[in-house]
Amino acid sequence: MSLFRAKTWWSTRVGTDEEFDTASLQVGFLETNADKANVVIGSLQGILRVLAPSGGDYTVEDLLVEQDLGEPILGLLLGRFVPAGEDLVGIAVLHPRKLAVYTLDASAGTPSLSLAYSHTFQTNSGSFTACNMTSGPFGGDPSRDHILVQSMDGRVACYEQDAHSFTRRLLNCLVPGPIVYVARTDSFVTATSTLCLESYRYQVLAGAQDDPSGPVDGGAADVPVASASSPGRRASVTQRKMVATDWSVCLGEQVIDIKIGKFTTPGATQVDVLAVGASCLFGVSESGDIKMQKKLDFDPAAMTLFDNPRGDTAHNMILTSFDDSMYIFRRQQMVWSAKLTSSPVAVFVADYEHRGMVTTLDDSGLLSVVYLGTDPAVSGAIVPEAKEIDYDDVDEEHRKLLGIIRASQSDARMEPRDKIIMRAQVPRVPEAPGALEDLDFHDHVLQKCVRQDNGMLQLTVKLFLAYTGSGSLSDVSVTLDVPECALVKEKAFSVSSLKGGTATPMIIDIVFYANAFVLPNSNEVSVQAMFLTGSGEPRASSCKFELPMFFSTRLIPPIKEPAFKFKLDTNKPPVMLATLFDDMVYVSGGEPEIENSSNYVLSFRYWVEDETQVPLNATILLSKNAGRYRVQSNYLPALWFVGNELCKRLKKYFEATGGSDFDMWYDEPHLPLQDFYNCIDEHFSARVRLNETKSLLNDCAQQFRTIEKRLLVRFKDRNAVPLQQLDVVMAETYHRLMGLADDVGNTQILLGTLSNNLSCVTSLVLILIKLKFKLDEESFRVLKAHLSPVVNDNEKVGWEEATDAAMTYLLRTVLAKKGGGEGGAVAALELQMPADTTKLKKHISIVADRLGKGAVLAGGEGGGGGGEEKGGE
Amino acid sequence: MSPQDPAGSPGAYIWQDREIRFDCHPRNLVARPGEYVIDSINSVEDTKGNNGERGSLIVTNLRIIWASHKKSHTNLSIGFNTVLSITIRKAKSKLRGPTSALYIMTKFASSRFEFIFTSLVKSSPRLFTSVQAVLRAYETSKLYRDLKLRGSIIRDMQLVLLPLEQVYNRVPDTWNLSSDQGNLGCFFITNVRVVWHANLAQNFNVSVPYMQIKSVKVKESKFGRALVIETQPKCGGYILGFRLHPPEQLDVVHKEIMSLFNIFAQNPVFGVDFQEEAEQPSLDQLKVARVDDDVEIVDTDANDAFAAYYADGGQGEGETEITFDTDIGLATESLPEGYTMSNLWTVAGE
Repeated sequence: MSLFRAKTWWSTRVGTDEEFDTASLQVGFLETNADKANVVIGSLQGILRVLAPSGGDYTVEDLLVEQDLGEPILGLLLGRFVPAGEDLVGIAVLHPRKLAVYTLDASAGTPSLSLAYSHTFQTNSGSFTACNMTSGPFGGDPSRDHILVQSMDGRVACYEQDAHSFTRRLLNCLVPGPIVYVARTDSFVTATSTLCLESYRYQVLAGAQDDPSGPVDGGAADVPVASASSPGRRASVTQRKMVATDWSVCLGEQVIDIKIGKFTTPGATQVDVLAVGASCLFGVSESGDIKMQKKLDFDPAAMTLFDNPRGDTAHNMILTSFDDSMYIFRRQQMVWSAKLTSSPVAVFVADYEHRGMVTTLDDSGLLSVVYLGTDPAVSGAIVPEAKEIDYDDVDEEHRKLLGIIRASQSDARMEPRDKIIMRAQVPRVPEAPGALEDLDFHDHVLQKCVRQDNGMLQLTVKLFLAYTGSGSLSDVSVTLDVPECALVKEKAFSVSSLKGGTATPMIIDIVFYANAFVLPNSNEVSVQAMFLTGSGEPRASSCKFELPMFFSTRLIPPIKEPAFKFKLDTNKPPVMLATLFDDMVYVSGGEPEIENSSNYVLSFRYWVEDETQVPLNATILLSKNAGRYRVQSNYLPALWFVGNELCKRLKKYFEATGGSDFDMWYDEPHLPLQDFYNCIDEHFSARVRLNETKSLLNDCAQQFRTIEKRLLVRFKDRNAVPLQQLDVVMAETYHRLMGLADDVGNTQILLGTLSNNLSCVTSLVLILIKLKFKLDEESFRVLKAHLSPVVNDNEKVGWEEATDAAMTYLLRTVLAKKGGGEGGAVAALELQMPADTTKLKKHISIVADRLGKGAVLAGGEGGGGGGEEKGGE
Repeated sequence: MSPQDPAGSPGAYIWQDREIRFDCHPRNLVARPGEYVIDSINSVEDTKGNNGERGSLIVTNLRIIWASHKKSHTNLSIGFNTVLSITIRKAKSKLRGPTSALYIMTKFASSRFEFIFTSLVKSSPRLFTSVQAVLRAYETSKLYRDLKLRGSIIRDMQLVLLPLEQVYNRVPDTWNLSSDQGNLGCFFITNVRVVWHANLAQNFNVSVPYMQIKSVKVKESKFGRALVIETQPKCGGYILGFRLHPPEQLDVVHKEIMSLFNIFAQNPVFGVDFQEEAEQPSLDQLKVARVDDDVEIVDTDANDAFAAYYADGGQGEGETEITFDTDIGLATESLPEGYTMSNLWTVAGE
């Protein structure tokens, strides 16, 4: 690739739909006294043209002759081929089966071609199809040029002007290669398909035995035959001589073209045979020695030699390549290269109006006369000043692009700005009880509600819904997740339309009723709103709030019920209970009995009663001289809600007062696991009982259906047999069935209560484990996930087996004795209701034990799984 | 680049395929008589001069027209006669990034221009196929449009007819008065051109398409009354004189040539033949042509729209002096004082 370009002096496209090859171009003087060269072009389609390049734009007068010769033109040569006069330049045209020589006659005003003579290739046997030709003063005849035609099968036919002299077969020729005549040695050099250069002396060829299948000269059609006897005479002189090569040299490459010139050695009188191969340039001496070899870094297409005016050698060389370039060599050195507009297949140097112009022809007929440009080729740089800039346009585009850039640079996906914001306003004081008549609850739900002063205990929470986007939303569906201890009329409703923008938020009243049969487990309510944005994208937002404590409990004068208790130690001075539970104290309405003792003892009463209609209470006692709190109750599950509330409030209080190093812990030597196990057993036995009752119910129902069937048969029968007290049996069975169904119902209710109790106790145990072993939040989360406080019994899986599996899993993985958790080789077992709970209790004990010994559930070891025992023995 | 063309009158110069025009009046983009739209491709970017701007590319039988969608005054008209080569290469487009583009190398008024067009429709080869096919059809039909001397157009004393050509008349015994003695020959009058050839030398002939004729007159000469055909100055401005043998026939032939000239110079047979592969007749009926307001803004500034398209940075060819370099032995562009080819080469070669 060169920096420089060749500049076009004159150019035209000759022919349409025609093809050209290396031999299709000749440049030379067609008249001996001419000072300007002519270009002769013969296409493979058989049209011969003579042009006179004139510089500048092509004009119609630049074409001198255009003639359709009717046969493909395989090659052209200019030379002294015409016998009549030495000053006439003949144009030798090679057709596949004919060699014709024309002259250009310009005398008649308009130039025209006239045929001097022609030879038709006719053979005695077989055909002679021409491939290429060469010319020169064969045999040292200085005044005339002869022509040697090589056939496609490696025979050569020599014509001395209008006479055929001989035809010989070359040795070892499979596919003919380029052939040239070396005047200095009077020999021909050709390239063979064996990748060799071979030289044949003219005299040897002429004197060898005639090829019997050689062409018989069809006679010169247009001119009288001057002498037809010369081949015969020569043959008789050198009889029985065989064709032999003078020399042969292997190049190892397919030869594209051969030229003869003084190129390699400065000042030498000897000529070189220059052969260009597919990738190398060879210089071979006239005696067959390789003098030069040069690797080419391009694919050569055409070659020509021209006079070297510097005089150190006679010739310089142009090689063109298939990447639109030409390269100029002086000896082995590249002295120039230039970019062309196409890839020429033929190249010549000639003098027109200027000396040393390069004529190129490409395979589609683009004929150019070029000279070397010295300005470096300018890459097609766009001149920005050329167009007037529309600044408004540019500005707008810039803004748009900046927006795109900004949007793409924030890696997180942008949360759409249009969303629903929800906020709940929870009243701080109890409201008047709602009238019973206002409610359209179902009876069984109504029964559950806590009654107060002939009404229902109720709490109205205001839910504010605001939409930040413009426009309005339709069909926003709101769902509530309410703990079991609270009841609402509907847990899901839909808002038909919600206005956006700056409109006042929509207010929805949600009325909660306290459940008189469920011990409070949690008081957290979560609300979800789901909607479709303007673009049809489904989105959701949520909010959480806590129901106030007075919704679940109320204060009563202090009582003493120390059946179950736990103690919390803190590292801070005691906080008056009246301060911690100021809202409750306020709600109690200043009852003196409560008021007096409220600093150190508070008793809470739930709405719920136990099986014996005794209200459930929980009491908090504060040690007067240390930050030590005791929570006690006669009913174990009742400890949870109040105890949890105490923990939460303590934490909140010290966070608000800046006690960042606040700590509390459970300081008893043992966890109350036995009580926990009792609770599990109760729950488990209820499950067993439920299963048994269900089984009985199933049997009974089966029996009932059988009796029914028999009775039906009897009633259908025309001649019915007596009933034989079957009706009594049926009535009995029916009663029993009803009784069993009631049992199942009651057991289910009992199981519900026990499940809730178990849930409360599990939560309590969890928090005690956390406080006792000082678990961090992550470990607590893991533990809570395994020892789940969510007790959800169903037909398939119960809490016991699920928890047992989770405990086993913990013990085999993070709590494994020898850190063997990595394998994770814990077989997933099918969960089945166990026969008893001893295994579960054992596993929970071991877990608690290992935690007590300092085992870590999560964190520390980076990624769980491989937890190891620390501390240990 | 004259803004006004007396298009339509016989003898007017047909510039559409011979010139490149930049940002010309939309009136000049309308097809002239005999010219017709072959393909119209939307969403094509002029990657070189108006990178980033969408436009439509219209291929007629004479030229390639590109007009911006946004401003119809931003346009290009590239005559097929100026096209040197067409290649498909990779280009960088603002609208599509790296993509294949149609490179059109042209030469007009001794300057080389390069045009790059990119189709913004993904994987649509239509841009390439249409332009290439029409250019080929144009290049292989030059005889319809170009004056030709000494061509091989006569075989066995008969005119070799072009595909769309019909011979209307053959006038024997016609003398060409170009040389002093005159040449006896024969006239062929067809729907495309007037051809004369010498009876003795078939190679001595001239083929003049009507669109290259400037005028047809009867004039007195030293040989008597003669039919004089004057060709367009852009193709040489030749004056061809003919004498017809029975002098009465002169007026008949003159009238015949005159009337054919009036018809076919206005509405020439351009010879660019094509067949649409997938014909969509409904599209033509549905298509609403782009309507442009007929406001001509007189540009007082020098029109430099073409600057962006220079293929060689605006260095015209043929303006430089050519000298013979005695070092290399070839003709070269003359160098400034003190520089030689070899030191230029060693600098560049390093």
